[in-house]
Amino acid sequence: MSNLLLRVDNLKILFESGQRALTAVKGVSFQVRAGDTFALVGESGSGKSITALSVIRLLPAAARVASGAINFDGVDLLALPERQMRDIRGRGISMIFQEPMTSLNPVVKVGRQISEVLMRHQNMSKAQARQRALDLLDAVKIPKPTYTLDTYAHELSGGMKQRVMIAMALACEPKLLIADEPTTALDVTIQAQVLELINELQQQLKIAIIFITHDLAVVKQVADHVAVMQAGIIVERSGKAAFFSRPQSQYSWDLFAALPSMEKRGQPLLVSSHRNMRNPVTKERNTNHALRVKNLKVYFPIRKGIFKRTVGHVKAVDGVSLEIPAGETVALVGESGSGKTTVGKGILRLVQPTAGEITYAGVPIHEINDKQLIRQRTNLQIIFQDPYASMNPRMIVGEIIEEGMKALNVIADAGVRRARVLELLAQVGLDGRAHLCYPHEFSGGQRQRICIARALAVNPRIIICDEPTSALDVSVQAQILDLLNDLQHQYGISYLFITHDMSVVAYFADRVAVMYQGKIVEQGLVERVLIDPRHEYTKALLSAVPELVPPLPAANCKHTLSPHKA
Amino acid sequence: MFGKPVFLLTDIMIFGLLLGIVGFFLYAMRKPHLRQPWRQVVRSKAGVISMIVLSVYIGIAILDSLHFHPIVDKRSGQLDAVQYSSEVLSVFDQILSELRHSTEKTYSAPFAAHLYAKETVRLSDGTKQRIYPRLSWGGAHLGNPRGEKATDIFKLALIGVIKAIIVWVTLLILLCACLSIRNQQAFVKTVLAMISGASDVPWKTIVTTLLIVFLVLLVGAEWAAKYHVLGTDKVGEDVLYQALKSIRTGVVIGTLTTLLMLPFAVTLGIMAGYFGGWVDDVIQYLYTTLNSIPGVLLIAAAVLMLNVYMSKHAEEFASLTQRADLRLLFLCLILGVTSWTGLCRLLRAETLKLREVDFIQAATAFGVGSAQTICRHILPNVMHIVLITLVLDFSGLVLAEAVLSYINIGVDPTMNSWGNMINGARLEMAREPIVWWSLAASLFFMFTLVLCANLFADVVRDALDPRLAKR
Amino acid sequence: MIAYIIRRALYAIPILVGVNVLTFMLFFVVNSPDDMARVFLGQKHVTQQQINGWKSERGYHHPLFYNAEAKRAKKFTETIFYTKSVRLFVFDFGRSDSGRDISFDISQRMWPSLAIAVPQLIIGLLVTITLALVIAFFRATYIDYWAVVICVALMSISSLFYIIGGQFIMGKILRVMPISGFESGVFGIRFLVLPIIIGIISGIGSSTRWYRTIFLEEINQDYVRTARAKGISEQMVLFRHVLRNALIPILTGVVVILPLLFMGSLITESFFGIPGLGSYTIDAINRQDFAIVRSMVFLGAFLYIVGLLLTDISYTIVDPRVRLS
Repeated sequence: MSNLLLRVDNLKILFESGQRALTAVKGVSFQVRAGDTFALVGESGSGKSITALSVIRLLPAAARVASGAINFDGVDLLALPERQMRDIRGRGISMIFQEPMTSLNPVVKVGRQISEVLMRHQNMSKAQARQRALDLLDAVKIPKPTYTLDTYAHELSGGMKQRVMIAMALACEPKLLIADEPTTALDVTIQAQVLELINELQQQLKIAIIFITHDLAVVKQVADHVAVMQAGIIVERSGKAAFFSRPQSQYSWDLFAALPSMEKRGQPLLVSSHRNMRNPVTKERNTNHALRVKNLKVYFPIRKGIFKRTVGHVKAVDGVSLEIPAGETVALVGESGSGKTTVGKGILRLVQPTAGEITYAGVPIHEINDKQLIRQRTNLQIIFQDPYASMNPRMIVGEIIEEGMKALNVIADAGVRRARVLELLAQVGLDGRAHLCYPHEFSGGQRQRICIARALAVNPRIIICDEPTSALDVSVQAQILDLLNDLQHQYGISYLFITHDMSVVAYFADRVAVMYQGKIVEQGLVERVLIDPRHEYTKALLSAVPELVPPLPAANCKHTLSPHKA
Repeated sequence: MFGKPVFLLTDIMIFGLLLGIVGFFLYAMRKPHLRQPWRQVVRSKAGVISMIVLSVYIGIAILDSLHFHPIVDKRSGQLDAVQYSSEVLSVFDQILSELRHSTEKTYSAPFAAHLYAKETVRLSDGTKQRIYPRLSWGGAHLGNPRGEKATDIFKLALIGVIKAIIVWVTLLILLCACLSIRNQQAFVKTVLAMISGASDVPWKTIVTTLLIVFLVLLVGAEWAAKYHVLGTDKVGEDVLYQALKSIRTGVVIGTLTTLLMLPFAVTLGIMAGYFGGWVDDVIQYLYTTLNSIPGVLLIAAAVLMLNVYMSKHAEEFASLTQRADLRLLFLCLILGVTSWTGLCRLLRAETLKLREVDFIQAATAFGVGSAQTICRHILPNVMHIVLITLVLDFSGLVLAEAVLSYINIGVDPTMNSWGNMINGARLEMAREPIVWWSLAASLFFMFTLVLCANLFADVVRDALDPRLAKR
Repeated sequence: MIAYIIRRALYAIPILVGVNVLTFMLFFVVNSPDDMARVFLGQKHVTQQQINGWKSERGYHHPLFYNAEAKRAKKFTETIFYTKSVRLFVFDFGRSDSGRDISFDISQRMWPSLAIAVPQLIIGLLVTITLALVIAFFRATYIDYWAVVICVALMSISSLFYIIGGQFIMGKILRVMPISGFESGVFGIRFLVLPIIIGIISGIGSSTRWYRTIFLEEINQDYVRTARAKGISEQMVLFRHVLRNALIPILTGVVVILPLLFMGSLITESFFGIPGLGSYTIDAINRQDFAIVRSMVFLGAFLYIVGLLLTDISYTIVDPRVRLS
């Protein structure tokens, strides 16, 4: 047993807004041993980030520690004067944050930002610090470290920025590193590299890490010990092996159950979702009603020079061909910047395609005029990624759902329309009273349900789902996926499911198309592509996905059968 | 009634604006997302204080906007037809008629009973003497001003205080009664809740502010009935009357300017942001061009041209009041021309951002037309910017009026305004002994209005700006 | 980069043309030169002959746009539009209505204006930025609260009051400085101190409050948290990280008005009797000298556009994010 580095006892944290106080963390205790990786897992709002910030004493202004103790290396951190706490920050405890884009100072050179911490804690001269910063950049495997020293943050890619953050955090070889969702904002291939780097450096420097994440697969890859947080409480604390073979708490089981995977295809993720799947309709394969995209191109001009002449194009989508058969789900997978969202918007002509053909049921969508296009809009609909931005905050839910029916003249009579709104709300599992509420009164998952109801309102045949679950927690994602599955069974709607998440593809899609730099590099049936990838990029992508085999539910039957709490 | 009503152009617009505000208020009451921020305004101390003071100012401005031709005293032989004077007065003038008529010969200090300048007076015994003569109105009721004045002022103040407290208590009882009916609560309980400050609304602050306002108004009224509270100016006109009459000018400029420019700024700003392309280019060109001319110079040039125009077409204006009113409106217009670009640019930027937001894309995917999208989706989501600009600009415009009038390109010289008062008084500072009250009065009245407007604007911005709400 | 600057400069041309046409319309089309002559000569009993004399003395006797009587190119050049407006593009301001050379007057009078405006800007910036930084350091405390209240009160006071009050206190009560006048050379400084101080004080409220907002916005950024996590003291965080970022909007906001400093301040100069361009303009307005007002409008617009151009350039220099793209 290695010695104890950090000990948190019965920590309570309050959020104060005006007169009211909200307890965000309700008595959390845990211990981290030197050299260990301690994973703090939980969904959004569970209080995991706040707990970590309180360890380094950087809570936001509205939050304060109400009670409890934090003991780091024999020092009571909460009792420490701010001046001494500053000596610990960066030297004893360091932190890396989720958003590498905004966490670096945009107007200070990268090298300067690293040497700053060295000069602060190790009394180095400017030249010494610069030399050491160079070594650090080399250590975090940044190509051309000398050049990078004198660049600004915006010149680096997301992964590079996170490497710089790591270099900065480890500059003074701290005993504890707090990593707050360090790879969540990164693409899966970059995530794999960064995780490997953290792992490697930990071995070298023998530091302890508190790794905060919502991603169980990442936990499996990095952690020695796991604590699961839910609503401000630690509901489970185990060693890694135990956690992944036999989780102790119901909540952990639910988390595992909600994970989509190839094995769960065809069955609902959540037990409670069964009630919506009463009369499944077999998937009709009507090739007439397929959506065909042929050689779609969307270019954005680059203008330069005195008269802003077009000197070139950003080829966001560069010759994409796809077919979405009726009643099927086609997944479009790619990393950020691959052009997958632009394909979706190009199909709906929310972005004007530069070239290519889009035909639905024989209608050439790409060349019809605006009037005819409006007629086709009942057939093709879209659901967006961010449920917070996709509804007008100034309209009530009823108006939001009604808008499409009104504009496209699906139902002319106001009374019938109102009845249909209620019917739709019931269909997506919301209370009928919701139609009088404003969007901000709902949670992310509920909002996404409203968006689905809005799209359904005009009876579409095809829905383009633009990462509809990537902003949601895994348990909410499961609900939405179940709902979408259910609707497909009932109405035979086809989905173009745009996503970056391989496990969702494996669970949800019939066919998959892998996109890379504006082109589709490989497409085919999910079973084939995921198991036997042929293109190099697909292989790289798949190998970067951290593997996670959930514990067998058979070992804990009674838990999975118990009703899921909403 | 007093006489035949007259509707000056600015009157009509002021009442139009008032109707608009009332309408918006009624509409907002039904919409929770609109009601919420205003609740926040009412809950802040600075918000309620400034609202009460502002409403006193605005109340005066409204009273001063009800204009009419007064009835001329009926002479014998003309009983059949009522004669109206060509003079234009307002209801507020009627209330202050005593102050309006109580002119002295020249300067007199606040609360003075004597003139500020020596005059040669022929005494009853026939000798001439240079003395400070008694005022014809201020303190005229006193036998021996030197001995009696202090007690008289105190007595009047006491009467004012008593009146104020009576009015205040009556109002409080009414208020508590209304509240207890609305909350279905015992009367005593309501009073207790108010005193203990249990409610979200800062009742204690409201009630105290009301008391202070009543004290100032009623004690001032008592004094003003007998004295020149703020002295008289060079031609012997009461300074308090001038300062009070200037309120309307300030309020009109502060509100109508924004009102006049609003349609252009909103339409063009949203169009530029929503349609982009050549529409955007044209609108941007338009506002950059207008913006590039320094505001003061554009106003100066426009007002100079107006002067020429007015002197050429002098016969077109029915009365001096109407002419002054037209000039005021024109000043609002030209101030609007120089200030709409700011709002236009803000709205363009916001619309550009909104256009890319998913819910606008969703509307497009539903085939909702451009006009519909702008009205239903964009306008309600930029409305807070419009409101914030409206209140933020108010104080700046009131201050601008003073500066413009000072350099003779502001309101008509015959119109009462703080700028004109300062302009007239600036040389008095160099006099020995110094005449300070005109200046002090105008600056104080202006300061109070602008301070309250600024505080109110701050509270409104904090409440309406969604970016601030997130923190 | 150079292409960018050239493009911005070219963009200025249509704007200047627009300003020119606009002022021309305002000055010559809304009212005819005859009307101006009448106002200038006094309303009543003016003969047409006097008017014509006044007009030809000042070159207003040509037709507005098209001179049918002149020959060839002169059909266009011997017009008011050409002589009075087009010539402005080469900064030929012509003569004022009272007969003086405007260009000469401007070249003489811009120096006193600059002597006040430049120190006022620099000292004012230093003072307000320091104050705002101090307030930002004490954010969310009573010091912050009252500082903001004081700022709001200061900005609610009319600038006229600052001038009158300042003149009164410094000049009449303390009798430390002359309250108005001007003298060139080193001894002239004593005339400048008061207007500069008053100028700074009258701007303190609004700019301090504005800069405070900018600072607070920056303080809430993620990179500030990163800096704190490095163990850097709050003062250094403010100084090294927040200030550097906040200076970008502050400085680029200042650059716009840099060229306009030439124009001087209307009220300050007229109150203190400084013979700068501000008081020049005021005098012209009061004398109804249209030629000078027209010239100043054009000059002001030109300087503003130069300011916009400088802003664009300064962004590319100060902000590394703009430099590359």
